[in-house]
Amino acid sequence: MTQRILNRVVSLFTRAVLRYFSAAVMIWASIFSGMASAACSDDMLQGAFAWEIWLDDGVDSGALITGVVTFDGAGSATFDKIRAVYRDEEDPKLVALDKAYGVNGRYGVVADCAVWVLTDIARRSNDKIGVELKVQGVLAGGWNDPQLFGTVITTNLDAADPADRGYQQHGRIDFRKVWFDAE
Amino acid sequence: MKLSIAGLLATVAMLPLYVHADCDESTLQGRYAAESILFYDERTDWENSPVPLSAMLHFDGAGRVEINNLYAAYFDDNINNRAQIDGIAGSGTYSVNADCHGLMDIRLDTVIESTSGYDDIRVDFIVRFVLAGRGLVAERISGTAIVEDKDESDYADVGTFSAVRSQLGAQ
Repeated sequence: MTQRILNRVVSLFTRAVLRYFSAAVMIWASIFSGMASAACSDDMLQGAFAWEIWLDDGVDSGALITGVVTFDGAGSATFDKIRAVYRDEEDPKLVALDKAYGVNGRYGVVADCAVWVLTDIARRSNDKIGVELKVQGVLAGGWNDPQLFGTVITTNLDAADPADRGYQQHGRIDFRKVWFDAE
Repeated sequence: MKLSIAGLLATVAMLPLYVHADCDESTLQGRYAAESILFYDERTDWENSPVPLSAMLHFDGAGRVEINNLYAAYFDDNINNRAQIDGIAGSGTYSVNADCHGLMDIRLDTVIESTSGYDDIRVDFIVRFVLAGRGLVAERISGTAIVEDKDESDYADVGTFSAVRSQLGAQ
């Protein structure tokens, strides 16, 4: 009887110690993975990411833009499903652009996890708005939830009115991976 | 008897985990991707647009912090000037209280190109923050920021600050 109780105590103690040390190992592994030097690369941005921007032009006008971008893991990006809401200068109310159109772009992930993204001109055929998107940012999260925090400047390169060409806005942009089919 | 022994052992086994629930400087370790948006403080008598920021922070777990790849986009003076993005680096200190509140103070010292030539920017980026997450290392930082110009005492920006732990690429 005494031997059985002793065996049981030893068994419980061993299990408790193992549980404690496995938890400690996981925690320390987690700490050291965060401290270790980074070696990020293009393939860490792969798949569909939802993004949103709040833009400001430095004077009196702003815009909220959302969309989906698909990174191919090798330096190419495709922007799609872009929606914008902005304040119309002549008619002071919020106007929604509920149009979806594709934009091609390029991106690069530097070893220290800094990221740049640059679009080609986004062209809307009806009123010829063409905008370049330039992003500089950093990677956040882990493999299961990669995110990109960026600073963005947009430049209108193809406005119908030449006076509007070169018009710029700036803002913050966040990308977050979506795990469902972007289509 | 068996139950009480098992309970005691389980309690002892778990105790060290709970002892570390209090925060300190080691609760912030490794890389955190940060974002911020700054607005000019009311006490400055001129208006300008908000300044968006993103950056990578490195906490050493012992009170030192470095900031790299800080990207600030801004219009130099007004819409007639071109907006630009500058990369800035800096370093500083931080402290974390047992209740998981904390303070970081980072000195940014850089030269930027402006319409009037080159400006030497020396500012203190001060953030009061709270930590969130599970385990021994914080997953998120949320805070409010003040940016004080060391050369112009009446100049300051205020804004929001948040950061998420970055584990991609960790080796």
